[in-house]
Amino acid sequence: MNKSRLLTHIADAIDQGELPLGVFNNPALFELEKEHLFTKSWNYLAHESEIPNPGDYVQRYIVDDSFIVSRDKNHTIHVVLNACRHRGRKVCSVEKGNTRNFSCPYHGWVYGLDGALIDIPFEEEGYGKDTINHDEWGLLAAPKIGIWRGMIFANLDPTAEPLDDYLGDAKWYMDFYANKSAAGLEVYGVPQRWVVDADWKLAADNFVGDGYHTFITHASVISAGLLPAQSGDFLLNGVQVALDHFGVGFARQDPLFNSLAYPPAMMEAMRKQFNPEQVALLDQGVSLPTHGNLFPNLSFLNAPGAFTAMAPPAPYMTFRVWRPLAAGKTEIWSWCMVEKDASDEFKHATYKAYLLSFGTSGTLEQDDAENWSNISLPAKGVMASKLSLNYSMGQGLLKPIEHWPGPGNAYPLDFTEFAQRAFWKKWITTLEAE
Amino acid sequence: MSINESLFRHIEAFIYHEAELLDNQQYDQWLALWDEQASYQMPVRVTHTKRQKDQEFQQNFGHFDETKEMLAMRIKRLSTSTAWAEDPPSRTRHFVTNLRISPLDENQYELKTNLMLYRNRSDNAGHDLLSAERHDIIHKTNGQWQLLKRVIYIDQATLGTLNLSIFL
Repeated sequence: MNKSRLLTHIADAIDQGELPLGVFNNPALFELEKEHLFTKSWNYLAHESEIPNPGDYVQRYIVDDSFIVSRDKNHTIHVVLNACRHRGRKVCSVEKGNTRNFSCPYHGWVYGLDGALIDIPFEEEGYGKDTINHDEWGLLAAPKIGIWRGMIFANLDPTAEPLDDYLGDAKWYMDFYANKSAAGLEVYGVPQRWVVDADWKLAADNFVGDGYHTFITHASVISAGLLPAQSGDFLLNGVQVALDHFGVGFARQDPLFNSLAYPPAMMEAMRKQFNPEQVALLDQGVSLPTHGNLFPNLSFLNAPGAFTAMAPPAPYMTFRVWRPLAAGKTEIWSWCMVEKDASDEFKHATYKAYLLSFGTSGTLEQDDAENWSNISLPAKGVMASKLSLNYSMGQGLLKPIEHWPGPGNAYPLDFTEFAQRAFWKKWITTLEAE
Repeated sequence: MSINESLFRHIEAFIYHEAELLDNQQYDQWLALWDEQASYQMPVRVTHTKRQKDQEFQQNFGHFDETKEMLAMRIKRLSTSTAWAEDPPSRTRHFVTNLRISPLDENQYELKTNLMLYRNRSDNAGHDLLSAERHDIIHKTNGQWQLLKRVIYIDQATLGTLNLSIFL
């Protein structure tokens, strides 16, 4: 099937509330995503708190492209391609550190934290004096970078709209994750990284709008008391919001989930941070947002988790990047995020709750990866790839909530698929646009 | 204090027994080997330059950072009929070698072992391999060896397995 027929076929299915299973393991689609989707998207790379001091840097990826995210001596943050301008060798082969400059081990070209070319060994002998314009031969800067509430993004498209414009209405909801305290967030520890035989889109699809799976996928953590909910359908009577590039789910009228186990003092402090409409949402008995996804592959989760009988459950929050490695293969990056000004005791509790619930060893995460690999692996079958998946949940059944204080359409159930349909619409229109 | 041959063999038999319980998914018996004050840690490893290599293993951030109570919660979940990640169970084989024993006092010993953990799932012919050095502290109470502490120094920064629904 040629490219346009492939996309048209999928687009037609999406319009009918269906999706062919093959999208979760299709090398041709992966190449299209790599060339035309991730090159035009705002890709999340790092949080400012990961590089707090001048000279700090981390290595991050957009699909196969490696970038150095660094902080220079003036505290300016830079994102540059991790490839020497002479032979393309990575100038940074570690995950993080602190340095004055990056020196290529191959021929010794030296670059500053901002990517500027500082030195070419034997330059005069080999190239002639003042022949090479150093200004033109620095490490390539990411075409666009944007920082919102400490979150560092890059876009490979020089004509991309600014990050702030792209985030748009999503900021109203992302504030609940990132603006709970005046001090903002910090990364607790470092990202956990691991590789799963699952397509990145399944993870995004799950976080953007799958309140439905918890009652069965995560039944064990509820019966074992790790997720201290009354039952697994705690998102059933919640709310799902679908923007074209962002989806988010909330619980409602649930004594545990409404505060996600944040202690009363932190809830009070949050209310001062949020604007009146955001506070109005909480006053309507809607929880802080739980799951969410910013298109394409940055996910959020904020939830309560138990870790000891000696203390109440603690809220934890994780940011995710689902880095595509190949069709049906993803490297998961999972950060444990916490309010910078929270007490050490709170941070420790949130870390323990996170570990037991999400991340490499998380008891909820384990079963998610099991689902996604059991979809992605069979999805390459000839017959299976054509299987039409039902994406119609809530279509024609639910009407948007009237007088919802936030932007976008909000639906009065989180057991619904409006946000997933919006994700797939955005995905197909992005691929078709090139 | 020295380690005589007999003591070495006793401790060696204990760690082989422990590995067998894990490979047989006899998690309740495995948990019983742990002291009430147990600490089970697997720090996240981050690639640093040789100069900053001492920062590789994160002091305060792990893949596991468990109390005995947390281990018990994980095991309770695995005992349910809906712990999908381990149903069907992973086929694991813990190859434990290079045992080194240092006495801390007459009742307490530090062990270093190398671990090669083979993991296979379902009808997939492939496998995941996890390699690590483990530092354990064991002690004897009421004539029985008990695990007091384990730190798993994993030989990967990016883990090549879909989850840690197993123990190392």
